[in-house]
Amino acid sequence: MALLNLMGVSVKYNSVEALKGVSLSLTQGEILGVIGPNGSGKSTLLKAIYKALRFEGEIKIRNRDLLEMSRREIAKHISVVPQEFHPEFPFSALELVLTGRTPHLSPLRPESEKDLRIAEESLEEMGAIHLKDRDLRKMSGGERQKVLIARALAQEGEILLMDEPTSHLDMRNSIETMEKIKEIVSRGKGAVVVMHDLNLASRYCDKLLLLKEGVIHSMGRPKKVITEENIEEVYRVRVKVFGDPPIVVPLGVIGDENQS
Amino acid sequence: MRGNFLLLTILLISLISALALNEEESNNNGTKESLLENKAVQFVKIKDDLNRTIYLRGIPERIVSLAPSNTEMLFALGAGDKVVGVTSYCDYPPEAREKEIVGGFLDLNLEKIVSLNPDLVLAFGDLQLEYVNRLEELGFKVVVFNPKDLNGIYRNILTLGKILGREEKAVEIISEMKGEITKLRKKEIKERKVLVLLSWEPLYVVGKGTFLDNLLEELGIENLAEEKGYYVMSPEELISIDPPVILFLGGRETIESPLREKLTAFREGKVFYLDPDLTTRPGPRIVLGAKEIAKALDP
Amino acid sequence: MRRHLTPRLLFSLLCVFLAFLIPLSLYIGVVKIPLSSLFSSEIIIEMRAPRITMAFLVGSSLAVAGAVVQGVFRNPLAEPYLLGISSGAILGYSLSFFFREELAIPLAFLFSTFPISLIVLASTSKEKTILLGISISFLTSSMASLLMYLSGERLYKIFLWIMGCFHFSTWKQVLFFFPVCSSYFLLVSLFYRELNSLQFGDEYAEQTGVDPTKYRKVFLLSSSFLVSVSVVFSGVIGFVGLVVPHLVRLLTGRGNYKYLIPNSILLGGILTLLADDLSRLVLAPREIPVGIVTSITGSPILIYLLWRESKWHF
Repeated sequence: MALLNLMGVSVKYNSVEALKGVSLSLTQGEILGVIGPNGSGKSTLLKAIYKALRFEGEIKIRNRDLLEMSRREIAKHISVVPQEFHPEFPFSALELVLTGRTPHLSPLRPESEKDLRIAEESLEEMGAIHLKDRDLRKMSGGERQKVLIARALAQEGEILLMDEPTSHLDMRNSIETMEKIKEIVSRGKGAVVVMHDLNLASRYCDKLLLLKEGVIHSMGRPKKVITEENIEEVYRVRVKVFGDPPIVVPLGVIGDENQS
Repeated sequence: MRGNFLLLTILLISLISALALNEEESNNNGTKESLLENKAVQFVKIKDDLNRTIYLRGIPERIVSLAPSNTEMLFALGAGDKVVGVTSYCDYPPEAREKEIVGGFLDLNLEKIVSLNPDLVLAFGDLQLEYVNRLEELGFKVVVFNPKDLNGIYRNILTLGKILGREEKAVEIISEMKGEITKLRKKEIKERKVLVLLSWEPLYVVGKGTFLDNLLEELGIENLAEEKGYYVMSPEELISIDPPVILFLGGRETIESPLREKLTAFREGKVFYLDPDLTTRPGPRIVLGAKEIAKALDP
Repeated sequence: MRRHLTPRLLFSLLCVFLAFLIPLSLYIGVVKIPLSSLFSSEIIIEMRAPRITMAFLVGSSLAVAGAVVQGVFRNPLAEPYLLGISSGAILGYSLSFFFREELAIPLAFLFSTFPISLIVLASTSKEKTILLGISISFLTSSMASLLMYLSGERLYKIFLWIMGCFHFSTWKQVLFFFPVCSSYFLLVSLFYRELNSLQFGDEYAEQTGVDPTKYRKVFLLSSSFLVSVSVVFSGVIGFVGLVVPHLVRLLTGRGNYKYLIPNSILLGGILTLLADDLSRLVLAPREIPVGIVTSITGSPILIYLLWRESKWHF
């Protein structure tokens, strides 16, 4: 059974169509990378999946209609790692990871040893256990990102949604993180990851979805999606693509005379 | 719609709470004594200026006054020794200054009043209501004086005389006051139109229906203020009214202002400074205030 | 970096402090009651005891409401009177002098709860709530100013009420207020997790399974109701709601509502009680309105806090 199914999903912001007719499916053990230029609807797609905005079309989680699920329920199945995060007040890493347990808790079912343990283990997995009592505001962007991923893990949703999880990370940390995601997903989860780094995306994602102005331009294995033609059409840059998995080398920008 | 229902509920709760709170504030005529006991101690029945009927058992021996006019009345009736607490504004007669101070006017100290254990509290006006309520809640007798005119003052003096068992003295004081007023009324006062100011910046005017207005009326003097109560007048209005005489109650200060040239009163030297203690306290010394006014208008 | 107190340690310290503060507050006052009869004097029982109880309860209410509002709006400068509660109350209070003075308190209450309840229920987004709230706040504030100008000799009375005062506290008030504020404390304590999520933004809340709109409404409505009731009993007391949550965060190094709420209850109550004690002590026998004391002592604290904050955000 597919973990996630989208059928003809469209999103409209103030009469601008941010997303149009998007359909996809996600199975266990699969990482689906979403790529595309700025403003192509990548973040919008993620937000629609966890019902953070209104959409048309159908979204099903394990064959259950998203619209019939409460926010709590959705949060139990979907863990989101946001792109940006600006804490206003002091908060420790461990406390933040614990907020991931909120969908599983209630006034009648407060935090227990188990929840604390899950939170600490998640931090350990992300190699951030040494940060557990550190104030979030006093961390680097990369450290914060690791904590956010740890929170998503602690939430125990089988679908992971990530919005550019490596944007603040250096090369080593980026690779480490992607390896970690791969490992986590292999345990029976599925992930939809918005990526800006095409090479990382091609290396670690099982499937890629290339968005152009809210519409799916191409979808499939990296080798099929990352082609010189596709990149040129969508990103308006000239590139050289070679290898398997494909590596992209930027050559230059396509001039105005080719604009449609 | 769920939203509307919630709104209605909140409205309802607010209304009920508001009413409940209102109840609490006004529920306090805590007179614990039974009213018509047939005892040897006599009781006195009076009506105060809030139109409440109050019964007092015996003559009070420990009185707290919450306004200078009340204090002056008490001393005038010869009950100065019974006064145990006054306000910081009570400066007449000099003996009053030696009494315990319980506060100013609106910032009274309840604890102080209570600690003096008065058997009568003489309050003033309609701004001290919260104190009145609270004191009565705690079991103290409070009588409120709020005279609006000369007759009101006479009434208060009489009531106080009744409370103290000094009715004869009260009557004496009142007839003396009335006599003085009559004398003043018969005087040949040339200027009979005035405007009374409490302050210059802003131009705070004593208007119609106030205490002072009534006093002027009794003296046969016309108050040129057009509005009711105490209010602020604009300079243009003052110029257009251009009173022949201005009575100033704001203390001794030379008024520097471009308006000086435009006003007749200033040009003819008819701006007179009056002692606010004598003219704004609705007590026995109001006659002295009246005398001052008359003297200013006819030196 | 200074070391922090753990929240539990702070809580215990505050409890101990309170234990000393209570008898001290009972002792302070114009009327000196000998220690031997401290607990039997009528003045103490009927006047000071309810007074210090109300000071504590109102202070803790304002502190918690402030903490909640700061989290809901993600704004460190938010305070409990934010959406027009105090100006509405002043408007209602001043208005009564033109009709029937006995209605002063009920009108104050109505005008403080009504507008904000409407706003919170009507608006769907946080931005709308803030905009509407601030507009209403300005509107009621200017109308209140007009009324105050027209009120003549009543002005002083209105002014004293605005400045806050626990002078008239009675046990009846305590009886009414205690259940109100304890239910509020219970409510926010039960839902502290939702508050924790909300403070990181609407999106973060959604991601952790918390409906931001629903909980924002719940928290704002309950907070404004509580604050309105407190205004009715004690006038407007500034700074406590703004400063106390920051103080707790500063002392413990944490903003987790699990610890912020109980510590704010204690610290807010203690500081307000101290302010009330000061108000009775400094210019005895006259009393400085409590609101003035909290403002005077609160301003330097606020300045210090802001200065500290600016050091962390380069």
